[in-house]
Amino acid sequence: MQYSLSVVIAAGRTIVDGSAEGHVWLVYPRDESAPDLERVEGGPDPALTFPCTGVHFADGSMADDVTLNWMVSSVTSIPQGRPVPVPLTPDQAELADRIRELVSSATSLQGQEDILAASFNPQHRPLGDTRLPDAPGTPRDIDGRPITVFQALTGAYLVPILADITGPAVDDGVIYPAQYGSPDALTEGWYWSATVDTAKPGIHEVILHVDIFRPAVRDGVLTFRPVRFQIPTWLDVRAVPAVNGFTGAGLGYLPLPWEAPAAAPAAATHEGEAHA
Amino acid sequence: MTIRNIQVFVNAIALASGELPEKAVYLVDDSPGGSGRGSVHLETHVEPGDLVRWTLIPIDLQAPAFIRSVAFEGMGAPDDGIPSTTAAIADVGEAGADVPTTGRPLPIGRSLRWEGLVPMVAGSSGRFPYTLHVAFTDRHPATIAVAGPSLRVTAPRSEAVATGSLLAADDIL
Repeated sequence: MQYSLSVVIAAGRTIVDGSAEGHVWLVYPRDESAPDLERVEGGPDPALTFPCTGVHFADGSMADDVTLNWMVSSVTSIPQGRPVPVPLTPDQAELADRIRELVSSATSLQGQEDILAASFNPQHRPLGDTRLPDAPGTPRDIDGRPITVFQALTGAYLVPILADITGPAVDDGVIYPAQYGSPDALTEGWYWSATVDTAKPGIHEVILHVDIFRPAVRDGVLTFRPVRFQIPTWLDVRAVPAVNGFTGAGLGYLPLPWEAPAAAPAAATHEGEAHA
Repeated sequence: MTIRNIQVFVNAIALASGELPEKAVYLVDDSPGGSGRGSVHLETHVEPGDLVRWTLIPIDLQAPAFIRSVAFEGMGAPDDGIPSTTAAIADVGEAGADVPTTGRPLPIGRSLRWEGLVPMVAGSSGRFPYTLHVAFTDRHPATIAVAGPSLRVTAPRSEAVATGSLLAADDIL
C-alpha cells in the first residue's frame, strides 16, 4: 500500500517569519480509524501527524507493506503534475517563444522587464493565468515591494525542495527513507520515499529538511537563494492483526455449498477461453 | 496441503469509474489445469484439503482496492457468513490486547485475508462459481461485484482416498 503525503508550505510566510510553524499543511488520505490526537505543548501536532496503519500476521510478521511518498509544494509555486501554463493557440505559442528568446537574451533585469512590458498584451496573456501587475490591487512580494512582471512570470516562488529526512523515526528504524529519480524537473529530478516498519507502533517524529527559495535581486539579476528549514512532522504507526475474511478469525473451510450449483449456460461459453 | 494462489489484478480507477469488470479485472492462479487465466472467467482446479488464497493487487499502487467478500453461488446473500465491519472490529479489539483500540473502526478492508481450505463436496467434484466484491475504501459500504470466476473441485488424489476420507467414502457409494 502506497501513500502520498503532500506537504504544502506557505513559502513566503515561512521566509518572512523565519519558521515554518503554522505555515505547513499535510494532506493525505483520511483514515477514519486513526485516533484523535490532542495537541500537547511540545508534543506532536495532530495536523502534521500522518496515521500509518499496517497489518500483521499472527506471528508478528508484516502482512501489508506501507510505503510513503513525500510531495512537497508551495502554495504559490508552479503547479506540480501539470506543465507550466502554456499558451492556448499556435499564435500565442509563437509569441511566447519569441518573448522567451528576447528575455533570455536581455543582459539585465531592467532589460528583461522592458521587453516583457512592451510585449504584454492583456488580451493575449501569453503565459497563462499568471497574475500580472495590472490586476486590481498590486500584488506585492514578501518584502512589500510590488511584484515585477518578471517575478510574476517566473512564479512567485520556486517549488520547495525536500533535501533530507531525519529524526527519531529514521534513527529508530521505523522508516527507511531513500531518494529516487523522477522525471519531474520542478523537484530537481528527485523525490523521497520510505518504507515503514509497522511492527514499531507509536508516534515517531520525522523531520523534513526543506529548502525554500527566497527570491532576491542581486546586481540587477533576479536570483533564488535556498533557505533551509526543518519541519517537524509525525507518523502515528499502528498495526492491526490480519483477519480471515471468511471466518472473522483464523483459518477454516471455504463456505462452499455441499453440491455444485447447476452450470449456467452463459458461463459455459467462457470455458476454455484464454487457456494458458 | 497444497496452497493455490489466486491473484486478482484490479484497475481500480477504471472499475470505480464504471468500466465493466471484464475490462478492469484480471485473475490468474498457480494451479495446474484450469482455464481463463488473465480474465474474470478464471476456473481454478483445486482438490479437497487445498488451501486457496485470494490476493488483490491494484495495478496502480496508489489507487488501492481490496476484497470485501468472496461469495460462492448457492450460499445465500453475498454478505452471509461475512463478518460485518463492526463485528470483526469487536473481535479484534478483544483478542488483540496489545493492539491500541480507540473505539473507532479499524481499517478492516486491508486487514482482511481471503483464504480457506477446500471442503469435501458431494459427488466428489463440481464447479463452484463465486463473485468477488471489490471495495475501494473502508469509509463507504459500496462494492463492485466481479462475477465469472469459479473453483472446480476435482477428485482427490489417491493418497486422500487411502486415508479413508469422507470424500473417498462418497466415491465408493
